Amino acid sequence: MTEKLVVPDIGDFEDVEVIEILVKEGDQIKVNDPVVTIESDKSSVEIPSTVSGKIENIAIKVGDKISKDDLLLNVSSSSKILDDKSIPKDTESIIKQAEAAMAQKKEETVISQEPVRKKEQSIIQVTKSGDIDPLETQDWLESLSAVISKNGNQRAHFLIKELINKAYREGANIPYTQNTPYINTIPPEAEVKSNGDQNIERRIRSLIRWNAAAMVVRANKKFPELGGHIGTFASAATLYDVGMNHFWRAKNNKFGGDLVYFQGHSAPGMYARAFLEGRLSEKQLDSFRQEVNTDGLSSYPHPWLMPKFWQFPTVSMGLGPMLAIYQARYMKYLINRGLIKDEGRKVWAFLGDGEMDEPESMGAIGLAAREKLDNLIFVINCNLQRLDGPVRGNGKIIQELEGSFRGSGWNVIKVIWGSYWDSLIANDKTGHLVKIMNETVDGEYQAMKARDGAYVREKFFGKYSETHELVSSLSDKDIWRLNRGGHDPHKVFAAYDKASKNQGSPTVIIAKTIKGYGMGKTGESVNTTHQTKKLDVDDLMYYRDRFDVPLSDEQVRNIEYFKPDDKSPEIKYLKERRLNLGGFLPERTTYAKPIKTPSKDIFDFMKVSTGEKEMSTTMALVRMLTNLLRDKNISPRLVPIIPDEARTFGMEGFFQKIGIYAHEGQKYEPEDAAQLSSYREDKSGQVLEEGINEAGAMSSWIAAATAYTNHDIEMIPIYIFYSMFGFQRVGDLAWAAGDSQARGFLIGATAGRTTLAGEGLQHQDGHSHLIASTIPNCVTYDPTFHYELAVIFREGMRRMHEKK
Amino acid sequence: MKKNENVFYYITTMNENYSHPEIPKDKKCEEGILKGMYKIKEYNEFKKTKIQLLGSGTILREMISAAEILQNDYQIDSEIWSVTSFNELRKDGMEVERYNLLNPDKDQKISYVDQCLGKTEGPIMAASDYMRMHSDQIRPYTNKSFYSLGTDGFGRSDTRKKLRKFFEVDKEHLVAYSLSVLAKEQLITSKYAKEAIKKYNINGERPMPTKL
Ligand SMILES: Cc1ncc(C[n+]2csc(CCOP(=O)(O)OP(=O)(O)O)c2C)c(N)n1
Ligand SMILES: [Mg+2]
Repeated sequence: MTEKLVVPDIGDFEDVEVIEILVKEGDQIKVNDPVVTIESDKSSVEIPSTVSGKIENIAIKVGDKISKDDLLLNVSSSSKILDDKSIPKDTESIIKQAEAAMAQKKEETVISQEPVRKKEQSIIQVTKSGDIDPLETQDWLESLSAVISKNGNQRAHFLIKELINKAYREGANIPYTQNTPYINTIPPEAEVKSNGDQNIERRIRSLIRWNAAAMVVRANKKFPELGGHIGTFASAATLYDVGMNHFWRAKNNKFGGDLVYFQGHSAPGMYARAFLEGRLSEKQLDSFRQEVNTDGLSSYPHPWLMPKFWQFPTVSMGLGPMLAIYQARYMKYLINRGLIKDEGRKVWAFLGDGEMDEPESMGAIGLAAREKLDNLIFVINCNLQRLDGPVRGNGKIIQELEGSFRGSGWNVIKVIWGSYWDSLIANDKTGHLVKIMNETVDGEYQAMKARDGAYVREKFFGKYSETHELVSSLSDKDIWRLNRGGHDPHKVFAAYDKASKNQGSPTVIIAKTIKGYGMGKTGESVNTTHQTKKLDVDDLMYYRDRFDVPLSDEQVRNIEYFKPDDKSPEIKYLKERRLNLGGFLPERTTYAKPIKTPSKDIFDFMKVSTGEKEMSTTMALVRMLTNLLRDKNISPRLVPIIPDEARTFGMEGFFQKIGIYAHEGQKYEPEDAAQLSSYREDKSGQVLEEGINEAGAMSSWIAAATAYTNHDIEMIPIYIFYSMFGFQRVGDLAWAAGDSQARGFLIGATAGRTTLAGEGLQHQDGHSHLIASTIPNCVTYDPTFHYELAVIFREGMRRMHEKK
Repeated sequence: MKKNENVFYYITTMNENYSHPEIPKDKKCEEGILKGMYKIKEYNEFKKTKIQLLGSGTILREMISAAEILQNDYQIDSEIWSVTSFNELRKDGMEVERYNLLNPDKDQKISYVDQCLGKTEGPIMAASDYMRMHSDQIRPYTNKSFYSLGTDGFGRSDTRKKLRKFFEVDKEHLVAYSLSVLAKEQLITSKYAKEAIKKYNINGERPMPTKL
């Protein structure tokens, strides 16, 4: 029987010109095959077939003006295989995996209901100011304890939520707090224990600490202008070491590798470890921050300067967290599109507590939760200090971050206190210890660690007689030894373990540490710690003794490095650990295959005159992309990225054609479902529609533009934006893209100060090319005619993406 | 196998509609597009006075129109160059100049800008839809007289025609500026420039757009 294919609903347009007919009479077509391209003065779209069969005749020709319901083709459909939207193989396996994961998740939730806290003593008993009836309070609390021990935490949580809801409905408009008490999220009895050899790990860590400090001190002894940081890594050494020994899997031929964003100015620590691993020589350590003539080590992580080592430039603070979020998101995108396997890879990002004040640091945390990025783990090193002084002298950065992240839907794990505190907290029958912990501000916490045990006894435990009593049997030395969570490998291990297993949301580990840990009186927890790069002989001796580094006084005076023999248990252990985890980190490699050259005629149509027909270069670009999407090799690699401007650029046709990436698919029928360029969201959608979010879009672009190294797959990202909101808005990300060796296209559309007419002062771009020219590896063009654009784009693809 | 290059592209596209010609037949056109400039048109009828007109983006079209007026109304010949990238031209110029200075005893290389313009007749006038600094970038790489026009100043909302007049990159201003440049170079008398300035209602006392 014969079926008619007519023009579908094309939105507000009428009399739209047919510019291309993609089929011939006699062709066999399937549902969704594009049959003609039409073009209004703003955009061009392909019309897909809604029927399958053999084309009997074509009712239109190029140049015709058509409107809704006009006849396009007659098709004879032999058998009516109407919807052959068979699921591609990749997608099928992804669905299977997802289903399996869901089943697994269900099991886990059942289990996680069980570990009922059998602790008799709950810590919520402190008399609170404003408690008008402590007896009644006691009653409620006891009922709650009873529920916990009878039915578990989940049930208790449910009841509390119901109480709050009820109160809310009764008019008590008191918001629920996102904060928990100032203690560890994981109670000691729920900590998963490391199978590592703690003694040997401590010895290795001490050597790394020593060598990291030594390389900075040595460099500055030679050339005091070189600079460097000791205090940051000193505070983070345990956080890194536990990851290196137990969690972070390297890329190899069997596994894609975890991606770790190291805090920029902790770089000496990474070099010190690579030195023990035998990956860097002593000579290289001695050329820290001396890159011009030797194969020196760069000050911070810069893939441009150390392309086989560093993967992610992070030292412009705030970019790391944002890039990491979009990296994790892009990883899911590749998985959901069936382009890479889901291997449970993770993205870890190490951040400073001071760094969290950058708007970019927190700006995308909502997206991370919304996209359920359980492949993402933030570790915030809360040493309570930044460069000038305390991060929150009058407040508590850990609590503030907890509230913001939990409020945004993250899984929050606080690692505040080390194991030495466990028994004290367990014995805090009256709750006064936790009360002090909650009340003490960061300025005080910092000051205490710059003093000694006696000071802590007086200023901290001395606040209440109950707590003074609690530590009466401890010596000042014991009190001084009470450690912070971020320096306790057991606590850190437990947190990483929990974070790695979390499903359905991103995790943030907020770890409390001491800036300049182990640096002694001149460098530990003092306001000037950040910039300390010289240690005098006494400091060095103290540092050696503090970490039991096996060096003689003479060797310390010479600031010698220490590297045990290759056959020593330390080096063997360290290498074996990395071997178990697949290789060394960080390491930057590329195994991506280049893309096959597209056929020449894709660009040919742009080399002939458009005749009378007028169009913009933006439209010409969109037509070219539409053509590229017909090339089987190129099509899947294109990543169109748009910050809520698709309609501005006439790209709305892409929505229907290749779909908008949405990890949850589309749970609703879009308002414009019947239309040709309907807003179609899809789990395997190709367009990254980022919303009004140029920084996020740029971060996505960087993730895609470096996929050739981070995921070993060459992609062609095309980020198209209002040119005015490009470089001047996200210039530092563009700089980081250069450093990262990004490959791809940035399209500054609606460009030109007089060409974007009505929009005025804050829109009209007359300088983006000048900003772009500041980036050495950015190639820029301002073409006038469509053939210029075609030649330029074609050459760009060849240089960046194709086989040579 | 040669490695893929670690570069990325920034290309500006516009929303002004106009018709596009076919690609010039000249084999070297594609090479020129990629290197940053190629000759798109030439007026050669009168063989008296000539000017080199460089335009990029949409302002190239104003330049083409200006050249036509110069030819028809003032008997001025011209060569019109489509500059696809002042930035790429500058990169090449910098490299060549550096090489020449560091190798005074070797054969001196010629920048691509100079390869295109060095042997041409008449002064150079360049214009784009960007700040003058954009086209100024190539000034050091040719010995010829060089004049830049551009859109320095804050933008504002209006029609394209009015905006180009405001920033003095519309075809009328380009004609007047060309005549004035030729007068300054003592190739024609200044009366043509004066005439054009009057004809197009251009006020020479008007403050610089950056101050408006
Ligand atoms: C965007 C940016 N601004 C400023 C700096 C300079 N800077 C480097 S480290 C630092 C302090 C870092 O404090 P924090 O984030 O708490 O890290 P910590 O060293 O304490 O771990 C500053 C201001 C920078 N690197 N990047
Ligand atoms: Mg800090």
